[in-house]
Formats: sequence, structure tokens, C-alpha cells
Amino acid sequence: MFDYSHTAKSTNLRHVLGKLATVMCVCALLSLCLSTSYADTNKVLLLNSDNSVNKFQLAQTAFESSLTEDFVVVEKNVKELSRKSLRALFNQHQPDAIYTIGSQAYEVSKLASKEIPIVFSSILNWHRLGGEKTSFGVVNEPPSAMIFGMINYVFPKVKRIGVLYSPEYNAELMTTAEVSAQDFNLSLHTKSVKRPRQVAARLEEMLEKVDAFWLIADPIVMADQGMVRSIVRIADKMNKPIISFSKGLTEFGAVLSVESDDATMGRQAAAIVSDLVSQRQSEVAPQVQEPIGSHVSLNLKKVKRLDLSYNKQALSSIDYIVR
Amino acid sequence: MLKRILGSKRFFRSVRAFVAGMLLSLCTHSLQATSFLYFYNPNVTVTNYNDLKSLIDVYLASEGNYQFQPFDNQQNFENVLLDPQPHLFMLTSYQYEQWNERVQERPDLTLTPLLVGAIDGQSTYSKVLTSKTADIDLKTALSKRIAFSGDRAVALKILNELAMQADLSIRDNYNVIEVPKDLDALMSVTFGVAQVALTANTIYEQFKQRNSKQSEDLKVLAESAPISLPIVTTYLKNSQDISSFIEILEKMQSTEQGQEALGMLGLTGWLKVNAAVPNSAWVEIARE
Repeated sequence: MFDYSHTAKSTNLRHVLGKLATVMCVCALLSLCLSTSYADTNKVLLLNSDNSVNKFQLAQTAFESSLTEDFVVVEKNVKELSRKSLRALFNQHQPDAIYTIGSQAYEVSKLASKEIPIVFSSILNWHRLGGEKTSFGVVNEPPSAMIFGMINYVFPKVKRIGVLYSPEYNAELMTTAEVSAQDFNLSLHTKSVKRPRQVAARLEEMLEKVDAFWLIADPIVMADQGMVRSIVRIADKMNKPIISFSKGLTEFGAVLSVESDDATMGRQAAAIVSDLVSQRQSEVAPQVQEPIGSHVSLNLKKVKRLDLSYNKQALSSIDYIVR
Repeated sequence: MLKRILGSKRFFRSVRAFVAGMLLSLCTHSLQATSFLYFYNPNVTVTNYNDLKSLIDVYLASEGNYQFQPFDNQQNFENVLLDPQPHLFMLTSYQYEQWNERVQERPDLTLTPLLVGAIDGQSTYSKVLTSKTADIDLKTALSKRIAFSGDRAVALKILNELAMQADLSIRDNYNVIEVPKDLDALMSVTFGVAQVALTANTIYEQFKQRNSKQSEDLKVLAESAPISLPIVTTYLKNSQDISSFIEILEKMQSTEQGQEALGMLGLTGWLKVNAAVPNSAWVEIARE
């Protein structure tokens, strides 16, 4: 007798094998397609020093939204990773470029292969970290040209600007600032200080001769909060405006502050990454760029109290106003 | 004597009547509907909507029951365009023409322009493409990195218009980088980060005037056709409420608070629009 059960079993087996082969073919094709499409995309590893910090998050969001669809961004919060897991991450992803936000992320990015270009942003005084040859990036501090340009725009009558600095920390900044001021038809009166106790006397002496005081981030000039309070008090007494580098200081008594815009730094980093990955390295000039976006705060209350003449049309360019 | 007066019923009745009168007047005042100046303009970079609203409201509130309401979203703005109350709508001439075309069948929703914004007496501005790269032509410039501020779609549209003016082919995309302000776009060219900047001619002129050294190498490669500054429109051109509201806007430039409010909008004043002329010509009329 013909064993129907056997025939049925073998037919069943053939059917299952056929299905399996089809599934395997589909999988192979799919994997081929995926690998082809993946080969066309560029991978960027984004290392954020701490993604709970708002300014870092702004740079990250702008970076991600500025890259085209040819890029895949793998984002990691450095705060949550050990050095071991970071090494594993670099090996696993083999990125075409690494974008680091903040100094901690930049430091750990050095664990990756030297072949991978690193693009940084949002690092305070990036020079102190020592740049690698494969490092590109955006400076965090606004260039003096941006600050003077804004002073010129908002306060066209301010022509003489005084600044106190410690040669140990800011000699280089003063050299570039003096050239920059001339470009904007401003005269920069600089005075060096070596100890915090010299600040008050030098400031009073200087304010006699200038229209405004430029307060820079100098550890001797701004040794502590009391020192800042004293600078504001002296400037107020002498009816002279203070130009500063942070929104916080504008709230504290400065009339104007110019900072770099965090989102624009993210966009600049995305442009550098695009150029590097698409081999348009010649477009990435200079290797470390000045920030090109400004964030401006104005203390209108103080402007009125000091009876300062200002360009009202410039109000449309102010990001934050103290009233 | 005084005791007798204070203690009298007549005195109490007078006080009661006075208090009731005051309350009634207060209620009537608070019941009077607020008229809004609604604002939407993708052509300008508004970096700070909170302060924009607050500073303009300071001026408007000093004049009566008026408020300013800016929008950063076209859809939301168009929703309030359907409100048939005595409000004013501040928008671009392009949006105004588009809107009136869309509501052709609804005369009640047809906007009439009443005022046009002005900068130093001019009701139009243009967009200029500038570079400091020596001997660069427009075709090459359009292939370089271009810094711009404001709405990306508007910037791309203007770049294509500039390309068409020079008989160059238009593109779907350009190598653009967005910055917060026109001034930043010009700065980015002087720093060498971008090779080309697309900015308002007014900002470029101010930059050149104030920063002669920084801008001496900058040159204009192309200039767009005149673009109207924002216009103030309404549905109810014959309403007394609207006339009063317009008068309040017109006198903005004569007060300190008003000048600040105008400054927040990037303007220095207003010019009257003659609505009797065809749309395409009203800007020229306003300039006269």
C-alpha cells in the first residue's frame, strides 16, 4: 500500500523548506539593500558632555537638523558612559566623524582612532585643551570684532572703550582686540592688572577717559562676585555703561552683552562635518572657526538711567531685554 | 457741623452713588473689547517674541484698550485672520496679495491696506548678495556657502530670483547656513566662515557706513527687486475704532515708547497707503 502519510510528510517538508528558502532569500535581499543604502550614508558620532545642559542641547538639536539625509547621527551622553564603553562604542560604530559638545566630550573623543576627524564646539577656552591635527571646530567665545560691531550698531556714539586685563590670561585677546577696534573706528584703552586689589583704582582712573567699559572674562579682574559688584558700583557712580559677555551680567548691571549663539555653533559644526565627509576639506577654512551667530542682551532700564543715546532700530536685533 | 454732614443719610446716599458710578465705569471699561494688532512676517528675524510683544504693548496700552499679538506660525496667524472684529493685521505685501486672492469669493474677508512700515521714509527694502572674495561672479557665488537670517524658504526663493535675474538656472537647494541676524551674516563673510551673505540692503548699508575697514572688501553681487516693508491691513476700513487705532499707530514715531515699539519691528515709522489704487502700485504710492 502506498504510504500516504509519508508522501504527505515529505510534501509538508518540501513546503516548509520552500518557505524557509523564500524567507532566506528575502532576508538576504533585504540585508543587501540595507547594506547598500547604509554604505551611502555617513555616520557621525555625536558626543554630548551633558545633554541636560540647555546650551549643549541647543547646539545638538541645531546640528542634527542641519545635516542632510545622507547622515546617520548616533548620539551619546558622555556623562552616562565609562571609558571602556566609549572605546567599545568607537569600535562598534566606526564613525566618519565625531562631533563633540563641551570639553568633557572632546577629551574622551581622543580615545577614538586618530584617523577620525573630530569637530568640537561649546568648549570654554579651547586652546587649553590642545588641538589635535584632526580636530576642527567652532570657538565658544565671541570674537572682539563681533562685540565691537554690536557696540557700534546699538551705541553709535560710543567711541572710546576701556578694558582691564591680566597679561597672564588675556594678553593675546588684547592684541587682536586692539586691531579689531581700529577696524570699527573705535579707540581701545587697555590697562593691565596683576592683582585683584588693583582693579578698583585702575577702573576709576580709566573711566574718566572712556565712553564705556568692556568687562572681559578675566580671572583677576573678576576674581569674585564682590569684585563684579564693586565694578558695577564704580561704573554707576561715574555714569559709564558696562559691556559684558553674558546675559547674567546684563541682569546684574551691564548695559549690553554679546554671547555666541549656541544653535548657530551647532549649525557651523554640521557644515564642517558635511565638508569633511564629502571631501570638501578645502571649504573648511579656517580649521577652527569663529562663532558667527550672536546672542545679544540689552539692559534698557540701565540705558535709560544712564541717559545713553542708542539706535532704536537695533532693538529688533536684541535677543533679551531687561526692562 | 462736619459731624452732622458725615452722619447724614444724604451724605451716605451720595457716597453710595459715587461708588456705584465708579464700579459701573470700571465694568464698562473692562467690557470694552480689546482691539488687536496681529503680526506675522517670515521675512524678518524676530529673535525675541516676548520682548517684542511687551514693548509694543507698553505703547498701545498707554493709548487705550489695544494689544499687539505676534505669531511665529503662518497657520495660527491665518486662523485669526478669520476674526471679523475691529482688529488690524500686519503682514507682508506678498501674504496680503495671496490672502486676498484666496478669499476672492468672500468680500467680507478682503483685506484693505492702510499703513506701510517705513525705514527712514522708505517703504521698501531689497535683499543683497554680498561677498568679499575678489573677482567672484554670481554663478560661483551661488555655489558657495551663503549665510542668511530669517525664514529658510524665503531665503531660497530670493536666491532663485537672483539667479533668474542673471539668467542662471534655479536650484532646489543652496549651501546655506542660518544665522540669527543679518549683521551676523555679514560678519560671517568678514571672518571667512561663509563666502557670501544674503541680507537686507538697509543692514548692509549701515554695516558699511559704521565699519568701513571691516566692510571695505565687501561688494554687492546682486540685488533683489524692492520688497515692501510690512503693511497694516483691516477688513473694516470705515470703522471708527479702526480709524482711532490707525491714528495711534501713526503717532508712534513721535513718542519715546512708540519709537521703541517701532524699533522692535525694525522700523522707524509708518506711511499711509492709498487703497484706491491697484495692489501692484500701492507701494509706490506709499513711497510718495
